Amino acid sequence: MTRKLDRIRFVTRHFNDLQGLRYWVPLGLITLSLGGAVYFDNPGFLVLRSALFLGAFVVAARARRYYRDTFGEVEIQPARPARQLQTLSIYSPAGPTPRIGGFQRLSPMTESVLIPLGLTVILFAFLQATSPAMTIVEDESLLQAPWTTMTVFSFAEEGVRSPQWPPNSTFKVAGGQWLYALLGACFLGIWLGRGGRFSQSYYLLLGLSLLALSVLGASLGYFYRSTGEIARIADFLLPAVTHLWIPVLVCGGAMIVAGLLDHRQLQWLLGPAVEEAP
Amino acid sequence: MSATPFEQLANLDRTVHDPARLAILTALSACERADFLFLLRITGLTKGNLSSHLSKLEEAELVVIEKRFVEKKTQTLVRLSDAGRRTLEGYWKAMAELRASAARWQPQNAALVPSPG
Repeated sequence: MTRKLDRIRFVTRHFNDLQGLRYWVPLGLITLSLGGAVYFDNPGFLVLRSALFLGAFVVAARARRYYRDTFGEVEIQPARPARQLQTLSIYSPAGPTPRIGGFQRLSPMTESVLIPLGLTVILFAFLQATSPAMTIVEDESLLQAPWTTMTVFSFAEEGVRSPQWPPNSTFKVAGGQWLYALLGACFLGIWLGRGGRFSQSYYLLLGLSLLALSVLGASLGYFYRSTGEIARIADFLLPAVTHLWIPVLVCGGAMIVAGLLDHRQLQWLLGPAVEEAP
Repeated sequence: MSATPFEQLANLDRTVHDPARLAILTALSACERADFLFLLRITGLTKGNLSSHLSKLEEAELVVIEKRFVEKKTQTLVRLSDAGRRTLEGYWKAMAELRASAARWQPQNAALVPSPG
C-alpha cells in the first residue's frame, strides 16, 4: 500500500513534467532541425529540417489534447506559499504597518534544475579557462576528425587579432561543449528534482554522459601530447566534441529519448482505464 | 495510561482509512486540484466506485468538487479542502504513532498468549 501511495504521489506531483510528447519530444525535434544548419544547406536537408521544425509544433499541439483526453488534468500546487500579513514595527503615528510576509519562491523542480545548472556553468567555465586551449581548424571531410591541425592556442592573444573574427571553428567547438554541459546539468537536475528515483535513472545516465562529453571537449588540451598525437579515447570521441552538428544532433536525440521514456513511464504508471462491469 | 495499538487502530478515521479513499486523498494532497479522469486513472477505480467515494469524501467535507465547461463538456475538478488536508495530516500522524506503539507493545497478561505448539 505504501508503495502504491508513493507512486500516486509521484505521478500526481510530476504529471505535467512526465508529458514527454508535449515538451521534450518537440524540443528535441526543433534541436534536430537546427542540427544541420551549420554544415548541411542543400535543398534536401532544408526540406527535412523544415519538416522536423513544423512537426515539432504539430506534435506539441496534438500531445496536449491527447494527454488531456486520455489521462485528465492536474493543477500543480502554487510555488508561492500563502501570503500572510505581518506587522512591521516602525515608529509611525499611524501605528504598525502591515507588510506582506515571505518571498516568492521558485517551484522545487525549478530550484533543483537551476542549482546544478548554475554549478555546471561555474565549473565548466573554470575548466575551459584553465585547460590548455586548442585551435581546431575545420576539415573538408565531415567524418575526419581535425586532430592533425590542432595546435596550442591562446585565445586572448590570437583570437581578437585573427583576420577571421569571430573565429568560427573555435566558437562552434565551444558552443557544442556548452550545449552538452547545459543539457547534461538540466537532465541531472530533473533526476534530482524527481527524487532521484531508480525509475527515472535514464535522466541520470543521459545527464552524466552529456557532462562527460562536455568535460572531454573542454579538456582536450590535456590529451594532446608533445609528439602531436592525442590519447586514444579522445581520438575516438573527437568528432563528437569538435563538430558542432554532432552535439546538436546528440542533444536533440537525447531530448527525444527522454521525452519518449517519460511518456512510456506515464502510460505504465497510470495503467489502462478500468471499465465498468456489465 | 496510553491507548493500546488495538484501541488506536479502532480510533482511526474510517473515512480516510479506506484504501480507495486514501488513494484519492493522497493524490489530491500532491496537487492543487485534479479532474475526475485523472483520479480514475491514478486510482484504478471504476467510474461508479470513484463517484461513490468522492460523494462520501464531499459529505465529510474533506474534498471540494467543482464543475466547469470545457469545449461543451462538463469537467469535474476535485480539490482537497483545508479540513481534508488537516485530517490527512492527522491520519498519517496517527498511523506513525500506531506503528511506534505496535513495535513497543507487550502482552500484559501472559495467560492470554497461546503457547507455541
